[in-house]
Parts: sequence; C-alpha cells; structure tokens
Amino acid sequence: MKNLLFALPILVFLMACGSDDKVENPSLKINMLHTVDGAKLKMDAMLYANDLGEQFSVTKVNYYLSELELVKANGELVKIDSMWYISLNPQNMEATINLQSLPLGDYQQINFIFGLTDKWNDQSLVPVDQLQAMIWPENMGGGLHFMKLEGRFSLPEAEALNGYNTHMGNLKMGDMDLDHFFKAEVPAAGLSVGQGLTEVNLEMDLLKWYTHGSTHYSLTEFQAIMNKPEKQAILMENGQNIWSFSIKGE
Amino acid sequence: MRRILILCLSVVSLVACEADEPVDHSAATPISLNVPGKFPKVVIPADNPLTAEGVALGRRVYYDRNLNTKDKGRACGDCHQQKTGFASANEQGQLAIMPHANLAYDQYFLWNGSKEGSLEDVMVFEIRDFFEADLDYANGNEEYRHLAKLAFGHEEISYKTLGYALAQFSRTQLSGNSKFDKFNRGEGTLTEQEKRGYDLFFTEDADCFHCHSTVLFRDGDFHNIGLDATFHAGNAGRFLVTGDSVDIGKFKTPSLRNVAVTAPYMHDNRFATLEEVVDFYSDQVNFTEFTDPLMNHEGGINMTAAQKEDLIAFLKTLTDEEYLENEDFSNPFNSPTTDR
Ligand code: HEC
Ligand code: HEC
Repeated sequence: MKNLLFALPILVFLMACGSDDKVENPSLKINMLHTVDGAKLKMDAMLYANDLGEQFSVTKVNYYLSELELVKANGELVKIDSMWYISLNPQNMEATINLQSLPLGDYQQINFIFGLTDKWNDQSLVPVDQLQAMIWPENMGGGLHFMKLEGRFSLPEAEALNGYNTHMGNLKMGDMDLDHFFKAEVPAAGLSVGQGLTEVNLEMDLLKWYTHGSTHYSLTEFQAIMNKPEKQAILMENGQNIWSFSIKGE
Repeated sequence: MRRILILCLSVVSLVACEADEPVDHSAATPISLNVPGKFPKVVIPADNPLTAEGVALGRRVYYDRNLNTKDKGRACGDCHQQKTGFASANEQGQLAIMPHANLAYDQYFLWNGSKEGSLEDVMVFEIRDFFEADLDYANGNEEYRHLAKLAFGHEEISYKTLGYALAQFSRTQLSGNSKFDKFNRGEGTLTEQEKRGYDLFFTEDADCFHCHSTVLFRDGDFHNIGLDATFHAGNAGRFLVTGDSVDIGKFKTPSLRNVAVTAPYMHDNRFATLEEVVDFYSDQVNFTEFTDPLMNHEGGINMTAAQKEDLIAFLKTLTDEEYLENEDFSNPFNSPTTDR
C-alpha cells in the first residue's frame, strides 16, 4: 500500500472534469525512475561510491511532489493542483504519476514542486500509514517530511558502517521559519499528448543530491539535518539538477 | 506483492475454515468510539460494527479462563494485564508479551508481523490457533449464547463469533489521556525536565520519533535497531516471515504508550528498566549491514547523563492512568454482579 501514490485529490480532479471515455481520454503516465550515478537503483546493496571514495547503499526513498504544471509548446500552462507520494520499497520499485483528461498537443517542459506547498503540507490529508512514515514533528513546525533518503555508508579505507538520513521539510523552530520546498523545471523534449495513453519517464539521480558542479559532499554531512537550514539550502539547490526526462521506449 | 500474497492466503484460510452463520446486528445497541483528541480516525469494518453487546462479549472472552484449551486456566487478561498496560513480565529470552493499546490502527501484528490484516483477522487467529478455544464450553454457556444472539443475531458460537467480539473490545482500548496528551492538546503542561526530554525525543538529537512516530508512538513498520551483531532463528525477526535478507533482525516497532509500566523491554525482554533501554540507544548500538540507518553509527547517539534523565522523564509522561484503571477494560468476572 505504501508505494501507492496518494491519488485521492487527483481522482476528485478527474471526476470534476474528466470524460468517461477511457480509450479517448488523453492521459499521461509518468514513470518515476531512480538511478545512482546513472545506474538503475538497486536498494539495500552496498553497490555505490561517490567521488570522495565513500561506499554507500540506499535503503529508503520516500518523497512528495505537488502542484505539477505541463508547459505547452506555445508556453501555455496546464496545471494539475494535487500532491503525489512516492515511496519505493525493495520488493516493488514501481512508482507512477497518472494524469488524465489532458489537453491534446505538444509540450516542452514539466514543472513541479519538490515537496509540498503550504496548502498540501497538511497531516490530515494523508492516511495513517503515510502519516506514520512522513510526519514532521510539531516542535519543528509540523506538517510532513518532503523527503526521506536513507542508507548506509562507509568512509574511504574504513570498514565501519554508518547511517545517513537526508530528510527535508519546512523548518519552523525558535525564530526560524523556513520553507524548503522548491520548484523543479524539467525540459520535456518530444512530449506530445494524443488520444489514449502516453508514457514517459522522469528520472531522479540520487547521487546528484550530494553534488553541486564540481563540489562533492560527504554523506557524513547529511546525517540528522532536519534542523540544519544550511544543509536544507544545499539540497534545495542541488535538487534542481537531478532530473531527466525521456519518452518511454526511446 | 509478497505481503498481498500472504494477505490473500490468510483470507482464503479464514474463509475456508469458517462456515459463515448469517450475521444480523439489528438487535444490538450501536455505540460510537470515544477517539481521543488529536488521534487519527479509526476505521471500523462494515462487517463488524461496534455494539455494546459485541464489546461486552469480547471483554468476557478476554478474561474467561475456561476458553483456553492449549494452556488451561489462562485467559488473554492473565498475560495481557491491565495495570501493566495489558502486558506482563515473562521470562528473559522468551518472546515478550506485547502491550495492548490503540491496536485499532494496526495492520501488522506480533513481533515479526506474521499476522497481517484487520483486528478481526488477528483475533480470530488468537482464539482459534493460539487458544484452540473450547467452543463446546462457549456454546454450553447461557451468557455467551445470549450475548452472541444480541450482538450477531445467532446463538451458535464459532471462532469467528469470539474473534469478532474480541476485535470490538480491542478497538475500544484507546489510550490517549496521558500527561503528554494533555500537553499535546494544550490542556496541560510538562515540567521543564519533561519538556527537555520531549525536545530530545521529537528532534534528531535523540531521534526517537522517526520510528516511535505520531501520537501512536509507533510507525506500523519493522526495524533492526542494532540490539545484536549476529543473527540466528531466535533473533531473525521479520526475515522468518518474508525470507528477504533486508528483513534480518527487524521487529515491529512497539508503541511507547504506557511504557513506564510495561517492563521488561524489547522482543526478548532483555532490558529490565528504561535506564537500560536509553543506555542502549545512547552507547550500545551494534551497527551492522542490517542496522537501520537511523541508528547513525556503532555505539549510538551518545547522550549525556542529564539528557538520558530528561528523556526518561519524558517517557514517563506517556503513562495514561485513566486507561490503566478504566473499568470498561477490567475483568468482568471480578465484579460482584457477574457470576462465572
Ligand atoms: C501466555 C501468555 C499470553 C496469552 C494467554 C495471550 N497472549 Fe497475546 N501475546 C503474548 C505474546 C508473548 C505475544 C507476542 C507473541 C509474538 O510476537 O509472536 C502476544 C501478542 C499478542 C497480540 C499482538 C499485539 C501487537 O501489537 O502486534 C495480540 C493482538 C494478542 N496477543 C492478543 C491476545 C488475545 C486476544 C489473547 C486471548 C485470546 C491473548 N493474546 C492471550 C502472550 C499471550
Ligand atoms: C529505527 C527505528 C527506531 C528508533 C530510531 C528508535 N526506536 Fe525504540 N524501538 C524500535 C523497535 C523496532 C523496537 C523493538 C526492537 C526489538 O525488540 O527488537 C523498539 C523498542 C523500544 C523500547 C522497548 C519497548 C517495549 O515495549 O519493549 C523502548 C522503550 C524504545 N524503543 C524507546 C526508544 C527511544 C527512547 C528512542 C530514541 C532514543 C528510540 N526508541 C528510537 C524502533 C526504534
């Protein structure tokens, strides 16, 4: 159940403006793919290394997207105001976002919020199992985690294993009142929505969360960072450049 | 997928074993749940609405020493004792007796989660497989037949009748009126020390909240917290259910509600006190290839003596005296008006 996308609001949206004709319904299936340095993600295995020589695994990838926009070739915006929960587990790496009743035509870009805008950052919107997985404590501002990216790592030349847990979310604590969601804009070359189903891939390279140009960050710096604004800021910047788009099968 | 498969299998086995009597709740008195403020909504299955008679029958089953054919003379309530959070101490090394509170929200039951599904599913399992309950005794008992007739519309008592009644009773066992809850609802305060403990618990300074999550103080998931460095059948936990090596040494996150009265601690009762538990999280974590990343590193989070005391002071605010003394959950056979 956990890896089902949080689909309720989008269903409501569809019912409000969708047509009943399934075959004709111009819909878009976005497969959310996850890689590490370009290689398809395999969870729970110490398969990966960064440029600093740290070996690591990935054990948890949970995150939210919200307020998606499809940008038409002529610049017009098609807005889908909803939230989507992506939660991978080693038994089932499938994660999709399904959009229906879209205007036909050519598109050039997909925009979305990584994390949750204030209107979606609401504990009462999610079922109990998702709340248990993603709740952000009241004393740090409440709402939900935007991302949990976790795994184990070892330092170069060292045997000992450690954990990293890179969690993002809004931080409201003491005199801090900081938003940590951000807008990503991904060029979508070749995206054309016709009658029926169009399938595309949106890929997130997990290593790029820890990379900025030629700067490589150690995983030791991304342990327990929920109340560290400077780390959240780094992730918000790096997170712009972790995406790539492709048409399925191409 | 595997989980769904297991679920299907258990549903099939239930269906196969229970010749369904026609169920009729019309003679029963519907009751509504008193869900504590700030708690999530409780979902009540359509085929087992909450009724006064169903809950009364369940309470009786919970405390009746005559039903258990496997372990004669022992009722649920003898191991799951109210004054200690519906748990009690058994031997070190044995699987610990799990406390009962707020099970209405659970999807996985038992330390390794081998029972998956609704409260109805786990309660039918408890009464049929764990107790091999004496149905002849139940069917020969007038009070049982009377309550069953009112609650479910038939006098004939099956494992399903008893399990469904237990599920209703269990669903009413909501604990949400501790000192913490009153603070959380803005109805009360914590001492300065308790508040420091609260802030340790709910930030990554002690990082307890990620697993002991929400007001339920559990996340519905399984974790290897690094109690051991090597694994065998006795401590393999969830691995024995899924066969997947990622699950080696994982156990169900226990709720910390009423934790001050539920000693000893952990699935094998290895710690006698909260001090020992907190020392473990602070300094004794084994960080192996199976340990949860949240445990950070070998050793643990390294708290000062003062921080440990603060954290324990907070854990003690989770005791809900009202729950531990609520007569609705007590042994009906002790009350002078009910004869055995
Ligand atoms: C001999 C002591 C004993 C008796 C009697 C007993 N239990 Fe338990 N109960 C346990 C133990 C030990 C566990 C944990 C076992 C495991 O994980 O495999 C447990 C676990 C449970 C759980 C799982 C709780 C959770 O959080 O997952 C439920 C539900 C439960 N018992 C209900 C009952 C009911 C209902 C009865 C009466 C029909 C009963 N028990 C009788 C010892 C007992
Ligand atoms: C990675 C998830 C995780 C984290 C983080 C975590 N716990 Fe636990 N906790 C568990 C699990 C799982 C168990 C049961 C382990 C077992 O028996 O094998 C447990 C058991 C306990 C118990 C024993 C409860 C009982 O009924 O036996 C206490 C007390 C406890 N934890 C307190 C804490 C405190 C305090 C913290 C923060 C310092 C903390 N936990 C952090 C997952 C976690």
